[in-house]
Parts: sequence; C-alpha cells; structure tokens
Amino acid sequence: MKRLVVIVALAILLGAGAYLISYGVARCTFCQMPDASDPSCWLRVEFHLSDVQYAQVKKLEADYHPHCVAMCDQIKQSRLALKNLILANGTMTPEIETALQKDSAVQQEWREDMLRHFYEVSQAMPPAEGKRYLQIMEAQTLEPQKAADAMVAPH
Amino acid sequence: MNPEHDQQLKALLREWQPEADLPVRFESEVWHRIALHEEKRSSWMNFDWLLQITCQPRLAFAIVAIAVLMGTGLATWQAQQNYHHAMAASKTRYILSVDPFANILLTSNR
Repeated sequence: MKRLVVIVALAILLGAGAYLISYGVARCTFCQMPDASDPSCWLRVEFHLSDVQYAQVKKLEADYHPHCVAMCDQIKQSRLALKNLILANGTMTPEIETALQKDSAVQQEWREDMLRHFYEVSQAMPPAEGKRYLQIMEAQTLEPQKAADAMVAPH
Repeated sequence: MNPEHDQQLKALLREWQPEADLPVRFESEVWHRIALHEEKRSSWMNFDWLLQITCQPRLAFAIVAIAVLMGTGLATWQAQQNYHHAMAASKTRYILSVDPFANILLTSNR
C-alpha cells in the first residue's frame, strides 16, 4: 500500500512539474504575443514583419488613422440622419431618397479609402504575406456585417 | 500414535452423525457469500489491480511516464489555446482600428 501511495504521489508531482515546465517552454515558443495596447501589432506577429516593414506599416497606419476617425464620424452622422428621417416620415419622401443616396456615397467613399489603405499595407509586406493579408481583409470591405458578426462571436 | 487406537478413532468418526440444526437455506447462503467475496475481489473499485501494477517496476514507471506525458500535452495545448485567443483578440482590435464601419456595427451590437 505504501508503494502505491509513493508511486501515485510521484506521478502527480512529476505530472504537475512537467505541466509547469512545458507551459513555460510553450509560452516561450509562442512568445511573440501581440501587444494589447498596439492594434497594429497583430500585423507584425501574424505576417512575420521585419522591423523595417513594421515601421513602414506603422507609418501608413498613422497617416490613415485621422482619416479613419473622420470617416467613422461621417458614417455615424449619415446613419443617424437616415434613421431619424425614416422614423419621422410615414412614407417615402424626397428627403429620405437624398439621405439614402448620401449614405451610399459615404459608404462608397469609406470602402474605397479602406481598400486603398489595405493595398498600401499589403505592399509593405513580403508578397506572399501581403496576399494573405488582402485575403483576410477583403471580407471587411465586401461583407462588413458578416465580418463584424464574426468578431462578436465567441472564439 | 498407536495404530490400534487410530483404527478405533476412524471407526468412531464414521459412525458419528452431527445433530446440530442448520439454519434454513444454510447451503445457499454459504454459496452466496462465496460469490460475493469473489465479486469483490475482481472489482475495479477496490484498487487491488493498482496495487498489483505498482508491484511491477515497469508498470509503475509507465504510470509516472503517462502522468508526465499528460502534463506536457495539457500544458502545450493550453498555451496554444491562450495564444490563439490572444491573436484573435488582437486581430479584432486591429480591424476596429482600421474599419470605421466595423466600429459602428460593433458598438451598435453591444
């Protein structure tokens, strides 16, 4: 009986030790964890960017960001105006038609800008990685609702 | 022992008939208890099998080795899971930073 206790205790002890060591080693293997405070850090890890490539991508992001914020405001305003008009009227009016056209124009502009930015970023990457980046980001421009749903869904 | 006495004892034993009153279903009860005992011995829950295994050095070593392997496997799997979760969260943060529409959709969904 004593022998049994010793062997079970040894198995638990060594198993736990192996877990702790392996977890440490595995974390080191995957040590290039993206920095939570830097959104574009994902690009560096996922697409294996060099320091030069990453610096170039960061510059592109910095140039694009103010425009992205402005676009965000425009989309919000356009959506809100459309929503208010739809709720205020009981039927289709010329104002709603105009608001719809404006919303479409804003969306068109947003898509063009975003796609332009994606192309620029992909060109700063090695060709194969750039292609993969475009494949991932393409859903954002073609199916934004689907992409947003995928982001909300639990992983 | 005297062989004559031995013969006498044997004859006496042959003639002897016990007069004790056995309880009802005595024989079946005995067999039932034997069966229960056999069943208990072969049960996995009494851990006799583990005791027997640990008496064999090779099998004892195998138990420890399996524990080590399971610990290693579990740790690697968990580290991978954590990495994939961190990457997925990071990807979401990036997309929200470059896509104003995703930002609006996400904030309106919440």
